[in-house]
Amino acid sequence: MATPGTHPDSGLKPDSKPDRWRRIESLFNAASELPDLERAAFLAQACGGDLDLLQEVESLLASAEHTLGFLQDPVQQAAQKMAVPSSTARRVGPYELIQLIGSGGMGDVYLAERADEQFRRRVAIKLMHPGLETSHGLMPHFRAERQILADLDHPNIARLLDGGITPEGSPYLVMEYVEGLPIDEYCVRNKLGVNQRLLLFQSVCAAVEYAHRHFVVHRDIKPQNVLVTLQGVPKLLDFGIAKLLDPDGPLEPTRQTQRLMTPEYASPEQLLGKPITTASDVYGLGALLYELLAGKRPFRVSTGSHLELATLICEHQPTAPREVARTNPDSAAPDLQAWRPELDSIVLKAIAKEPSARYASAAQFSDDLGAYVNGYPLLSQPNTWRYRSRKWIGRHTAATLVGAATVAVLIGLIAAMAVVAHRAQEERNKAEREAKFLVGLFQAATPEVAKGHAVTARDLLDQGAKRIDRELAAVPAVQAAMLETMAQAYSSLGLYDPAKDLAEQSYRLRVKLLGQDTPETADALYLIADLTEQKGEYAKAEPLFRQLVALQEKTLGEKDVVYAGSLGALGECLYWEGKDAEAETVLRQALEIDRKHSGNDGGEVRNYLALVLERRGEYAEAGVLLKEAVAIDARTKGVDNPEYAISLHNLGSALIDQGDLNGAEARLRETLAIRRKVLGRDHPMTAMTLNNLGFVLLEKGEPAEAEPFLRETLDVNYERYGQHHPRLAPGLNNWARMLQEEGRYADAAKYYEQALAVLRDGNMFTSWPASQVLLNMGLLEFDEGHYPAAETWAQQSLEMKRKLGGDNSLALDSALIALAEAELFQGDAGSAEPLLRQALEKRQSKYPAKHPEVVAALVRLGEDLIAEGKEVEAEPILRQAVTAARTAPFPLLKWQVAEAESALAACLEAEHRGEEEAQRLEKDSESGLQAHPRVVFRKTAASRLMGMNQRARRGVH
Amino acid sequence: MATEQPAVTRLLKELNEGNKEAVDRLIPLVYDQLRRLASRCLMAERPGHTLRATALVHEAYVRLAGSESGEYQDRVQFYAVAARVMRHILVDHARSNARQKRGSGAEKVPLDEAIMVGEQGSLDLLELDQAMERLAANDPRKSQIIELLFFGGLTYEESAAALNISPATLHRELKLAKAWLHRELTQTPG
Repeated sequence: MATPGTHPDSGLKPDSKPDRWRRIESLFNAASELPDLERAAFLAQACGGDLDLLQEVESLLASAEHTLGFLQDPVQQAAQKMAVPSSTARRVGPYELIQLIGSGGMGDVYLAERADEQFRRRVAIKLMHPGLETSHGLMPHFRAERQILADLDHPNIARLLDGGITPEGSPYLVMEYVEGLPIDEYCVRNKLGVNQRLLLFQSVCAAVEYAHRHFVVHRDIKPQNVLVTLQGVPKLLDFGIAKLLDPDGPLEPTRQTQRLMTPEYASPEQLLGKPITTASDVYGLGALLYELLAGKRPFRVSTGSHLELATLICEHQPTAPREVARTNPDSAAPDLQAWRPELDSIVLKAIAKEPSARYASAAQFSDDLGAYVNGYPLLSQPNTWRYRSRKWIGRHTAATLVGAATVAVLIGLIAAMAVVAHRAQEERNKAEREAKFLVGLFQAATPEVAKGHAVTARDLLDQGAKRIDRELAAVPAVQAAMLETMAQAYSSLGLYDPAKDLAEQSYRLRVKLLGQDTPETADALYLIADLTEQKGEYAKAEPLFRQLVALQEKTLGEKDVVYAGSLGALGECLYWEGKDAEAETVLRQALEIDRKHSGNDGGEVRNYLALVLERRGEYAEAGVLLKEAVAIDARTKGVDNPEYAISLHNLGSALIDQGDLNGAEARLRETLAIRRKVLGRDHPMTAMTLNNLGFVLLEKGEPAEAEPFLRETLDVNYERYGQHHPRLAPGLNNWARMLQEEGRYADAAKYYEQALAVLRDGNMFTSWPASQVLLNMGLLEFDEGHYPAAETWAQQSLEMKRKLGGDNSLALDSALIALAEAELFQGDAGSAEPLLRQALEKRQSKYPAKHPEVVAALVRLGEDLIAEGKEVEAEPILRQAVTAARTAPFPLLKWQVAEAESALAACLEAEHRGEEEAQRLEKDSESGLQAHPRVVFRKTAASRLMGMNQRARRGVH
Repeated sequence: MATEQPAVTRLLKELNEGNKEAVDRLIPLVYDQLRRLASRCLMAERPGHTLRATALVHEAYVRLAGSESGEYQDRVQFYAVAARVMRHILVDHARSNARQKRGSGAEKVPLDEAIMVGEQGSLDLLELDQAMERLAANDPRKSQIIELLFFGGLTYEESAAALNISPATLHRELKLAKAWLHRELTQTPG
């Protein structure tokens, strides 16, 4: 048995073991207490010539310096390894594992068969090593992602068929099993010529383009991931899997560093931890084509050093593929004579260093190849890429010149910051400062902090902020730049107070250094204004934005994109203030500039313009703008970017208005997954999505489903904004509505009142949200049967909406209906009719013909006409309602259809005709009405209507 | 099993009253429970998450003792036993894993060449276990401190209570224990 005494280097003598060990211990402890410089002298004296003893204690003291994390990590790794399924586990879900066909860092791939079916279907199962993605909180994300991938249905994409978690907690994915050769091998074996290779490659482009349209980025295109079947059909494997398996995203730098893409095929932005977009796949396609044609990858190192390779990829221009092909006759395309030089420029354009210098899409890339084959003019222009990439690298020297040991950590930091500082990215000239800042942060993160712990973005920022004060006071220009970037980063994390503080410091410094009229001062001013707005102080923010816009109009001119950006921000602020007309003017101006410029920067402007338009009921134009915004953001920012999430959120919300509740729910759930991941659970934007998702579920008549989302909304918002912020209002209002739907009227009233109170506190007593709360309070009274009170609230709401939107506003519809219903139920069907006709007209002009809101208005009008004794007039209106409800493009809720059916049945009954049809309608509507939480009310409403109808017919009022 | 609960509570009581043999009867119960939990929830955490062991041991305690709020002393005793069991489980597994690796002849094709940059901790758990044995031969308490903290996930305070020493002593001893193990495991012999 080995003991401390027998280990070769331990220096302990077996005979004197216990005593000697105690001696060592006491010397070690005593020396540990001393400053480093005094230890040697102390030990020399204390050991008194016992050199073994001296050496022993000294070596222990030296070891003590390196013990951080050294035990924890291996123990945990061992724990994780335990979860690796043993080779004896033969079944995964309904699949039987047949054979291990591959193995990698993330998991193993098996050939498997679905066992419980009549025909045996072969599939490939990717079984992940546990611990990669199994934290419970991430499961909803995993599922959402999986769904997106499962929806990819393209002949050149190996389908994701299924997936799940094994009882041991290992996630698995079931994929179409493709039997074939990797595309490079296929080309070589079949001795394909240049044009044949291009043709084959174009199918791969088509697959990638298809996925991009579905907002899925592959991220890891390489020959091994493109198999060509026996029939000669290329199939792309593992679409989006890389992302599915790395759900933590770039906010966790320590993990990011551990899982890089296959570096041989990684794009420069991937290596630098920049956001991965569709442009990264264009790069991957370019690198793949390069290899197919030239027989070698664009970048290779003989040493196998990743750092060297990364440097090459980020800094060096690849040799033209045709040159390489000459030296490579075995694997390159054999017919070099068929290869015109333009092909080189196409390939090189696709693998340009700077994403924006590449083809804008896989389709464009493929088109240019088609043009090449057919001899048409090309999009790619030789030489421009050279200039651009040099410039780009110039800006990133700070990031690329750091030593080998630190590169991995730095990559993670840049990844983190690329997200948190995404605003900075839009503004091109800031890259230099950004790089400086990143290095600054990197140095602020001491190795002690970085090792073993996940360094949060907040940790880095707090340390960075301290560092600015301490070290940069002497260089105010740099100090101002860093203050600004830090402020942006804080702001992106939703930490507005520290952000604003830093922004104001930066602004003051710059006014002092540079004066008012400089772009840098404007940048700081923008931040202050933006942060003021973020805090909900819209009235204070507006003059700041106006000051900024005036300043930039003078310094930049009225066609500048940065100026357009500020106009957009002003428009956003005006929107929040409820000054819709002014907002629209400003936003359209900004949109115009963007359309003329690149059409690539205006995601946000489109979003806000859409919101203004929606408020006016212009849903069609709003929908177009939002779809544009989602596409722009997916293209330029990537699908896990917070700004993409903004557009997606807004699109989801707009679909609610278009009547597509299921589409809205799906978009919002996707947004929520992105936001939880990228922004965190308690970010205000995450709360906004939670709120809207809750709202959709309420609209769908599922208050119980809505509850957890709405509850979380309130929790997050209270935490973030305190008790009195106007942004609490939507959450409070929806919570109240949920209570109301559940019949908890007294509680509901309390929350509506709170919603009004926070709006009042925020000086927003006269505002769209307030008018909505008033309306809901009216509906609550209505549900309780208090019709006069309901009328008062509806009247107030209507007046406020008129004040905000004018008499002709399309947004008056719901208040008009609420008022009419209150009058109808007080017996005044005659006064209700013109109100309902107005409301119907408004709804018909703002919604598509079969929208649920239109159906509802038709039903209300029909019912009112019945009550007036005009059932003959009511019949065609109610028939229209039933037809619309039954044939709407987005399926209406069961009770919405039933409501129309039951109203038509009542109408026929009143007319004393079509008895059979009436009975059929009653029957059809029965189950639908059961599904509605207010079914009892509907029943009494119907009998009440009939009573009024009979009185009207008898001439009694 | 419902019948295990009183047994564990009784055993813990006996242990606290000085009956050291209770440990031997406690271990199989804890072992069984931990193994079952380990296969399920150990892995359900993210890598780099330091609370894993604690959470696991805690859950095992709740299940076996049938309550969350047992006596502090009982809980600490339990954790101490659990730490030892956990160490055995992990080491056992590492050992059988090492055998499998050598024995299995399955041909694996690298499909996924993702690279782990900055992978740390190539430290072999079996070597660690042996080094801990060597340390224990001369200074059992130091070895136990390591076991409690790193295998059992006990806090410093709980570890100190389990060993009946002050937290200051624990810190001091831990420092030497780690230094000794580190030197033992990193230096190349000879």
